[in-house]
Amino acid sequence: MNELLNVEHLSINFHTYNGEVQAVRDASFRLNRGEVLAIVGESGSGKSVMMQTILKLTPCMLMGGRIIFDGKDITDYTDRQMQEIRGSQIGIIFQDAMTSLNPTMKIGRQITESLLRHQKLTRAEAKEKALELLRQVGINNPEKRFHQYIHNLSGGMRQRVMIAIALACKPKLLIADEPTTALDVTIQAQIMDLLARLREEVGCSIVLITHDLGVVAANADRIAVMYAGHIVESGTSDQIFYHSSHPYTRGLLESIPRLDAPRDAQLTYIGGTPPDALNPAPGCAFSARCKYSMRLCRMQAPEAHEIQPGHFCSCFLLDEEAKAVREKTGWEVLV
Amino acid sequence: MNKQTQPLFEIRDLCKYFTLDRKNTLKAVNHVSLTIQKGETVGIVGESGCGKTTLGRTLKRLYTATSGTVLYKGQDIFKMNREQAHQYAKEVQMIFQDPYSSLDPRMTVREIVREGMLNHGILKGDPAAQNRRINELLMMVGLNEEHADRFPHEFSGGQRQRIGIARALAVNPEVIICDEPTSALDVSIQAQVVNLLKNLQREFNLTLIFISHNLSLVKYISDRVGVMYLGSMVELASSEMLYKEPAHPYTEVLISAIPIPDPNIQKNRSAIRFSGELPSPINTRDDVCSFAGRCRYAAPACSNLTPRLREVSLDHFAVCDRVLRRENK
Repeated sequence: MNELLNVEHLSINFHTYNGEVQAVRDASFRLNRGEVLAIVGESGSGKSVMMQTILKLTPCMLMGGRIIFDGKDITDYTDRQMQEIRGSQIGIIFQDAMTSLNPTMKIGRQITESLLRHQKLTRAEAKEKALELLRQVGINNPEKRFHQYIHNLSGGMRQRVMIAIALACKPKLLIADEPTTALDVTIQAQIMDLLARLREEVGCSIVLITHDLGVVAANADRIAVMYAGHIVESGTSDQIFYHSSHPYTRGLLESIPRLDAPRDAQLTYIGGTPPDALNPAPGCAFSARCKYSMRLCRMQAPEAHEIQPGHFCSCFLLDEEAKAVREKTGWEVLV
Repeated sequence: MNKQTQPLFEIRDLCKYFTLDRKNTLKAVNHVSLTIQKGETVGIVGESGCGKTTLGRTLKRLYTATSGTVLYKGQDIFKMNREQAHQYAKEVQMIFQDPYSSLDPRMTVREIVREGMLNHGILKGDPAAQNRRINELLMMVGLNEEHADRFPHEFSGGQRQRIGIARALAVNPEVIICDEPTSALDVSIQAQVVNLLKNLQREFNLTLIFISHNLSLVKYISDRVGVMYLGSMVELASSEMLYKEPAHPYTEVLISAIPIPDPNIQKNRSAIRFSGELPSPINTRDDVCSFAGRCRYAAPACSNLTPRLREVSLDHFAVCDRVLRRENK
C-alpha cells in the first residue's frame, strides 16, 4: 500500500463573532509515501487551517469528510489518540520559528521532549540523539547550542531547530507550513536544500504549505492549488506548471515577476480581491475575479474534472459544452 | 538619459550610524554614493538588515545622516532652512511597507488623502476642488468615490496600499520612496500594485526609489539596481546588466537563490549557496571586505584592500569584480 494520507471531502467551519466562516469546503487530496505535496494558495485560502485540522490543532468544526492516515481512519480520534500520532508519526514545522519555539526552554530540552515522550530512551540517549539531529540539520557546534535559548540563534538557525524537533522521532509525514516565508532568499534556499536532503535520509513524505510557486517548482512532486477553501486544481508539478487548466492557477503563475522574463514584459494580474469567507457567493468561488466566467459559474460550483491521469481541475471551461465560450475568449486547454 | 543635466539626487559618502553604547556602533548605511536622475526608477535590494530601509528613511530626512551629503536639485538636504525643508517634504513622498500600521485608523480615506494637501496648501480654501481632486486620485489608484468616506479597516491590504499611494500622489510629488510596498501583499495583489506604480511613474515622470528584498520584482520595475550588503552598496548597474552579468560574488549568490517558477529551469540551475549566516552589522571594519568571510572567491588579499565602488564596465559599478574576471579566464 503506497498511500500515506487520504483526505476526502473535508469541510471545516469556524465560529466567529461575525458568523460562520467556511474555511475549507469539500477538499480532497492524497499523499503517497515518499512524496512531496505542495499546497499553494494565497493568505486566507484555508491551506494552513486544513493541515492544522488534520492534526487537530485548531478549535474549529469538522463539518464532514474523512481523514485516513497510514491506513487508519483518524477523523474521530480523541485528543489522547492524536497525541500518540503528533510528534511521532507526523511532524510539523511552523512558519514563525520565533513564536512557535519556547523562549524559556533550552534548545536541547525542546528537542529531547518529544524523544522522551514517544520513545523509550534514557536522558543520556535522548541527548545523544538530539546532538546528532542538530548536526544533521546543519548546526555547527551542537554541544554549545544544546544549552542555549532560541534568542541566541538567527532566523535560519531557529528554523533548523524546528526541523530537528519535527524530525526527532522519524515521522512518516512532515508538514511544513510556510517554512521559509520569514526568511531571506539566500537562507530560504539553504532551508529548502536541507528539507530535500532530509527527505531522502529520513524517507518521510512532506506536505509543503506555501504561497510562493517559485519555492515549490524545484521541490514538489505534486501540487494542489487552493482558492477560498476549495482545491481548484491538483496534479503533478509538470501538469500544474506547464499544463495548468484553471484560470486561477494560470493567473497566479502569470502574476509572479520572473527573473528570466524579458524586460518590459507586462506583468498580468488577477483583478478584484479574494472573496469574503463569511458570505460566500453561490457558484464557483473564483467567478467574481475570473475573466472567463460564464453565467453558469455564478450559479453552480463546478465539479472536479480529471483531465489527465492524476490531474484534477474544477472549472466549467473544461466541459464539452463550454467549447463555444473557449473559442470566444481564446482560452486554450493545455494538454 | 541626459548626463549633462543636473541629477535629481546626488548622494555622496552617506553614512548613518546608530550608537548602541559607548563601545558599539551599528553601521546601517556606510559610505553609500549614488546619483539618481529625474524620471528614473532605482531599485535597492539586499537581505534584511543590510540598511536598505535606513537608506530610504535617511533620504526622506526621517533620520539625520552621520556624515556625507545628499544633494537634491543641487542643495544639501541636511542644511535646508524651514521653508526649504517643507518644500522637500512635499516633493519627496514615501510609501511604507505595512499598509496596516501606516494609515491612521481614526481618519477616513478622505481625511488621510487631504491631510497632505492641507499641509502644503494645495487648492487652498477650496474644499470642493479638494474633494474633486481626492476623487480623481482615488480613481487613479483603482478605488472610487464611495471609498472616500470609509475607514482603513474596511479595506483589504492591497486596497490600503493603494490609499497610501493616493496619499503620496496628493501633493504632486517628484520622488516617491517605496519601502517594500508589496511585501505584505499576496502575489496576485502584488502585481496590481506594482503595475499601478509603474504606470503612474510613466504618466507623471516620477522618480521612484524602490526598496525591496524581492529581486525579481526589483528587476521588473527598475531601470538601475543597487545591491546592498551590510550597509554598503556593493554593486550598481542597469537591471538587465546586473542580472545577466553580476560582478560581485554576493550578487551572484543572491541571484542564484531566487526561485524561478519553472520546474525544468529550477532543477537545472547551478545553485550557489552561502555556508554561513549574515554577519552582525555592529562594529564592522571599513578597511576590509565585509563579504570576504562568506565569499567563495575570497583570497588572502581581500582582507587587506579597502573596498571602493568602481566602474568595472560601462555604467556598471561594483566593489569587486571577481565573478566577471573568472568568466574572462
